[in-house]
Amino acid sequence: MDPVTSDPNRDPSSELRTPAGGVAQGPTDGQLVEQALSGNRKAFDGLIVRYQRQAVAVSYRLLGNSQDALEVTQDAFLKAYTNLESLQKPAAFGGWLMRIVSNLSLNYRRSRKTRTSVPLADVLGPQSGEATESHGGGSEWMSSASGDPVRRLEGKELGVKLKEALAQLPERQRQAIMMFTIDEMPQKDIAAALNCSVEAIKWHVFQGRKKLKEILKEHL
Amino acid sequence: MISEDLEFQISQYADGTLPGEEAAALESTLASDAEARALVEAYRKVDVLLKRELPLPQMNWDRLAGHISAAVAQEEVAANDANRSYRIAWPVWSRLAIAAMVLLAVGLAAFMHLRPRADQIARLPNAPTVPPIILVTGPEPQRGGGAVIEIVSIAPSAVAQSSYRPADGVVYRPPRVVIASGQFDRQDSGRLPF
Repeated sequence: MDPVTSDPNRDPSSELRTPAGGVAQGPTDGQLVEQALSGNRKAFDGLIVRYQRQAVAVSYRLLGNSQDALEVTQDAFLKAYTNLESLQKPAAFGGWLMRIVSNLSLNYRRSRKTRTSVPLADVLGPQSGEATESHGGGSEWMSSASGDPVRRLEGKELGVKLKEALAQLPERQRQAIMMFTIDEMPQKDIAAALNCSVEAIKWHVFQGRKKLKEILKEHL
Repeated sequence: MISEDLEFQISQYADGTLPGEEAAALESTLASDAEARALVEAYRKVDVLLKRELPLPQMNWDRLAGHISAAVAQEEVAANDANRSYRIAWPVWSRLAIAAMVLLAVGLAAFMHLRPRADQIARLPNAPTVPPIILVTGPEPQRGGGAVIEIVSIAPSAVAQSSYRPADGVVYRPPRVVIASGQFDRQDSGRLPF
């Protein structure tokens, strides 16, 4: 999955237009990293646009809280920018960033600071996952799309069951299946974030999916 | 009954990550195996359910990118300021002094490294050959029992002996020095050289 093309809110300025009017892929990660290293900070902005969704997804799946995920994502990009020179393979920026996000998230989870300020609150949408988390249900987000109270109730019940089912999975399986299936991250980036091989990710996804199928069989 | 390996393949087929050749082979299995087809459907339903029920929270991605970009810019400014104040804190004279010290250290190291060693001098083609003046022999162990005595003899060489003069100063007379390392504090013979 190309995070640029898959992000519905991507910055159009990050794309390159061909003379024929078509949209080209734009510079590669490696090119953007090289440009950023030579002092072009706009090139790093391109990397931010390209990877912010994945970074938030990884952090959110590890922390389970969108506000914390945003804080960690910002810290991760800052860390990546200040340590960009230490990146040995510029083309591997995505995996490297996901590893930073993952490490920061795990450190954050260990310390789990309670933050009183909400500096990034304006980034969250009105139907953000906070409502879901605070109400303990899993379907607020979906039910907002449906005005039918019966469907909303069914959806809410299903959301709760799905959350319970996910909670029964080992942590690696849960994270792998959420990052791969829900967030549509490339398996190599999930592998970098979870510090394991692509083959292991495939296996975790399979095992997680298999268990979810068993737990949720009456809903399938 | 579907084997674990086949089920693993079906899982990858359902999400589109099964490599082309394996996918083609699996499709022929699916064509004849209803249970396998049902499994593909079940896995796809699990995926749909997950995507529908547990999406990422809604975000304003443009605004988030702006926030992060501004934070990076701020970080860059702070780093530049720190770099500038570091330069200001070191006046010209101190920088010159440091440079001189470094230069001195490098020069000293180069001198120590490049100067010829004693064995290299001996190998020089035009080096004068000087006959040995003093021969040192020993230590040799004392024969027989008793205290352990190591004997070291210092005597003029054959060349020095043939043209020996007391005024040479190096050896004022042919001596024989015996150094004892036994338990008694003594040296042998009354012919002490000094």
